[in-house]
Amino acid sequence: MNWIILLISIVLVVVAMGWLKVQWTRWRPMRLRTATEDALKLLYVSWQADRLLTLDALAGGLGWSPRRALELLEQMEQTGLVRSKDQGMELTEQGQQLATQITRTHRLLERYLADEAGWPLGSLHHMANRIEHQLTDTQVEALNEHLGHPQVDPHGDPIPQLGHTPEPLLRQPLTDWPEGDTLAQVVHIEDEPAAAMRQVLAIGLRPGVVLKVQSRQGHLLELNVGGVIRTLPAAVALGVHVKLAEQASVQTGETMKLATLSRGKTSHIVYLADSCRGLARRRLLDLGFTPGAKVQATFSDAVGATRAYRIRDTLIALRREQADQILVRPCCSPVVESN
Amino acid sequence: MNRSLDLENQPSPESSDSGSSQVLLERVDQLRQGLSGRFHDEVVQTLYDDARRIADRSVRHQGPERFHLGEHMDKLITHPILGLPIMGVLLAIVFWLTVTGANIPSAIIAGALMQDGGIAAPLEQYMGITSPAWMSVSLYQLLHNVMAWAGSPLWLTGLSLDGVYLSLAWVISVMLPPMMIFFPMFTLLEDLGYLPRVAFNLDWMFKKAGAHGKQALTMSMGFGCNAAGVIACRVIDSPREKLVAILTNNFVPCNGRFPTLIMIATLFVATRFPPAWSSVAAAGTVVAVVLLGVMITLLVSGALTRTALKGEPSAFTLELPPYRRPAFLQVIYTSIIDRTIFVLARACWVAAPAGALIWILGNVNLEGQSLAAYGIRWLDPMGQVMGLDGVILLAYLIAIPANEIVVPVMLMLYMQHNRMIELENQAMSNILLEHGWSMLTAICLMLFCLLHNPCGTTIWTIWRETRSRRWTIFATLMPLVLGIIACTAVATIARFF
Amino acid sequence: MVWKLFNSGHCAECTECDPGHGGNVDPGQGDYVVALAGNPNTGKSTVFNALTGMNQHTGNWPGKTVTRAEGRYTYQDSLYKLIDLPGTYSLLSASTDEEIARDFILFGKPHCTVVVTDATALQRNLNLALQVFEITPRVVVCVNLMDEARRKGLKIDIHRLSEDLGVPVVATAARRKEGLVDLQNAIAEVAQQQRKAKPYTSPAPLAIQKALDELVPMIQSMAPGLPNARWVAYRLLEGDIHVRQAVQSDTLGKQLQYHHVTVNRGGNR
Repeated sequence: MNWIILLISIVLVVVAMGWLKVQWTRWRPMRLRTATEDALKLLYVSWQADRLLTLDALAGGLGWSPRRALELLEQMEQTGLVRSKDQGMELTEQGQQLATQITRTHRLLERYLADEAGWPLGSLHHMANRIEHQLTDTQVEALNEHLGHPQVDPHGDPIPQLGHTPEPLLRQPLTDWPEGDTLAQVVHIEDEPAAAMRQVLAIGLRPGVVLKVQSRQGHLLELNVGGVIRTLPAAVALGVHVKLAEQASVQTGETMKLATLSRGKTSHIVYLADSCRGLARRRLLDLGFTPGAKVQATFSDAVGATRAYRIRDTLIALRREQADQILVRPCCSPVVESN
Repeated sequence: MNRSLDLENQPSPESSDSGSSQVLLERVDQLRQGLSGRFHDEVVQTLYDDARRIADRSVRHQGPERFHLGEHMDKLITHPILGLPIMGVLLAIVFWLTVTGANIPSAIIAGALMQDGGIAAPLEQYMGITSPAWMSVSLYQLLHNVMAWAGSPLWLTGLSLDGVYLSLAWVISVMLPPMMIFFPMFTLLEDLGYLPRVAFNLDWMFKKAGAHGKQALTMSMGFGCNAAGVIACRVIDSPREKLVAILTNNFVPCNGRFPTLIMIATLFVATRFPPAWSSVAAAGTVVAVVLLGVMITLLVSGALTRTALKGEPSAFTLELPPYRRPAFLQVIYTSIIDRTIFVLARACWVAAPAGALIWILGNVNLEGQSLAAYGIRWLDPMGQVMGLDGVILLAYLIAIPANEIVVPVMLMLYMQHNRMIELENQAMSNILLEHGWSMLTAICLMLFCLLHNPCGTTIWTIWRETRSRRWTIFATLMPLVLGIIACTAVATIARFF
Repeated sequence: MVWKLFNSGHCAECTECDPGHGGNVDPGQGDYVVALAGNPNTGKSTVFNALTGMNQHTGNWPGKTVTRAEGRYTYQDSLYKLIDLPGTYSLLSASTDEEIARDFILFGKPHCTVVVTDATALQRNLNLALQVFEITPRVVVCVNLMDEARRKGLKIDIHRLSEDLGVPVVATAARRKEGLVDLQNAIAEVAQQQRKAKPYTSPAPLAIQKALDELVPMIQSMAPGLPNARWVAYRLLEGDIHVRQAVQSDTLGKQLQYHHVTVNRGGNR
């Protein structure tokens, strides 16, 4: 009996060792590729900003020691992806192509994870980092098709087109925005450090949200976000990038959120918030929640989390989060839907 | 670094037009860059504006709207406080009607197909009709005589009649009548527009669990058949929430499990109440088990969406259609054709080979003991820990393909009778008590009935819908592990006192 | 895990969603294929049942787990096969239901598509009808639930609606079997092409119109005789993967020029 057990254990050990070897041979080049691609993403960003990437910045971005980063760079230089210039590194033409490709993959994945898989904004970056290296180009293009050729990622960064030089970004940190009535639109939220991002998300800032900087008090910024005053530490606000709000988005006039419309009241839809994106936005539009349409608020559930709205002669139930993203202007006559 | 750089130049299909199609697609990509990101918005708005203009030209309001019952019904059904109790009561009524209504037809079908005494016995008992003598012979007895007359060997008769035929007869007589009552009633509620209101009422709970509101709809489909419930999960757009709904669908007991629940409720709960209340108590017990299932669904969904399937709840849009008078004939037609026959056929396909297996297990002896006895002895320690016994566990093992046959397999194993037969309530409870059953066994069995691996068809459907081996295995084992834990906990606590 | 999430959606590579096999029906000799489209809750299945009676069976759409109902009826010695498409609000998004409905109207090439609408919510339902018009001119609009509309005090001018839409419009109350003969008659006229329909098309938003002006002639030169070049251009601009694949593999023109040949009857039972 015992020898059977012994034999089985020997076989098992041999099999396990073989398996480990296969994993190891697969993992080593994978790791190198992962590191290279991560470095390429950082290089892409500096390329876009038209500056050189220093070794320290690279090491910091990867979370590596400068020595390991240097090793990586040397390897990349050998394969012809980067060349050193002045005090830093620059992408070669081949490097530019690859960097564009991997950045494109990363941002498309983030888009997918946010819109279709419903991942929270805070963990997109991390998750995309994990899977982007396993995708083939065909899969990436399939993803692009599937998502309907999105232009920007969930953080607000443009998704690069292959063979195009990235355009410099017209945006500035929120900390540089003037106080007063100039409307700023959030275009990008930095995802690192994660704690700062959570704080930004917690006060309701998303790409597309329009706000005003009310005042600056020491290290605190006082913001007017849709009529509500919020404060944000300047150190955190540094990770929020804004630009001058587009005319189409500046319709803050007398609009209110559909969710705040009282029962039985009727209103006209003015617009859907920019933060309502992807499939969710398409669904709402397809159901007839288009600008100009008449909506009447009706009954809600036990805790007021979900409410039914009469739109285009049909009752449609929405959760409060969605009704918050529909901006309306209350109008005169209730109840009777005049066709 | 094997990333190919020139993915734009994929080999194009060999056709004369491939050149121009390539040009077209490139031009499309260029033009798209020039358009605003609000393409869909603009297109949809134009369409809706036009639709509205055209509709306004030909629709005229003539006189005031007459009294509309629907809006007043909505006030009641979606009432913040009354909404949920109304739902519970409706559910109880549906179960009560199913429980009480299915009894007599079940007995008649069982008589016709297999029970000694034929149709005559149930007709006599329930309606006081005395029937001619030839009606007191069941098809089973008839076939038995035919086989004997043809001189078939004992094993062939046993395998085909006592095994395959009897299990088929059981499945039909137990499943068909409740399904004929349950499915049409359910379809009626669906047609009336009630089910979307249920989803509406329950949405906030599912939202708290991080799941989709339409999961309530897929669950209610699961009452009929978990496989159908899993398929229904496609109404959920978000893949993450769809997966949550698929994984938890098994926590609502399906039609195949109701017979077990109803039997236990009738034998062990109803008997403690005065006769007038016994059927109400049985229905109440079943409703309680169902509510427990809903609670577990919410808890497990919540646990999943906070760990493995983390994410933000996706958009939830649900049309609440106006109440309409259902087309009764159509409802009965579709619910019988689409649901009853479909579910029954599936059960029969599974029950036939299972019946053969049971017969073999009960009749093939090894060193003087049947294979079944070995299995029971092997499973018994674990069964005892869980407040059950080896027979119940073996019955569940055999019934993996279709849960409907759990009760008959159990009885067969207890009686060493080598074939499955239906018994009177009294006789049945006597047998169970003789084999050491108690209230604890009943409670643990009801728990285990709610919490165990999905049936074969459901597992297969889960695989087909998710196309993931890992999630399928998870969906199979997770409820089983939960069931073992729950039963063990209950049994341990009960023994402690 | 995320992979599984992605794959369980609509992947690009799977052959099952290949538009060329998106659920064609063999028309058979002298038969007509009629598709039934419409919003959910418009009594579409009641219309379906009223037309086909007991001559129907359900199956699944090939490769999909969506139930597909098929039925048949005879009218004036011709056999009509009726396909009940999934109920949808729109044909523009990428849900499974919408994809099936759209692919069938586009690639299954029914002889006639009936858009069942709810008389009490006409503007919502006409939105879908307008989208169907973009794909095929062979359309009958069925204004159902007329009894419901009467009860609500609504009067609907069917003639005017028909003039505005440019296609036959029939008023029905399928539950009471009202207007079914008119509907069958209209279907026959459209299916046998006795009546040239010129469905109303919504003007495109200005910026998009410029792109369409450029693309439509390109598409028409690629596939002459294509009835819905404008719609194809729309879909390409929005990035519809099926239409793009059809253009890439050059099946678009062929599919639409000739009658489909693939047979995949009764789903995959």
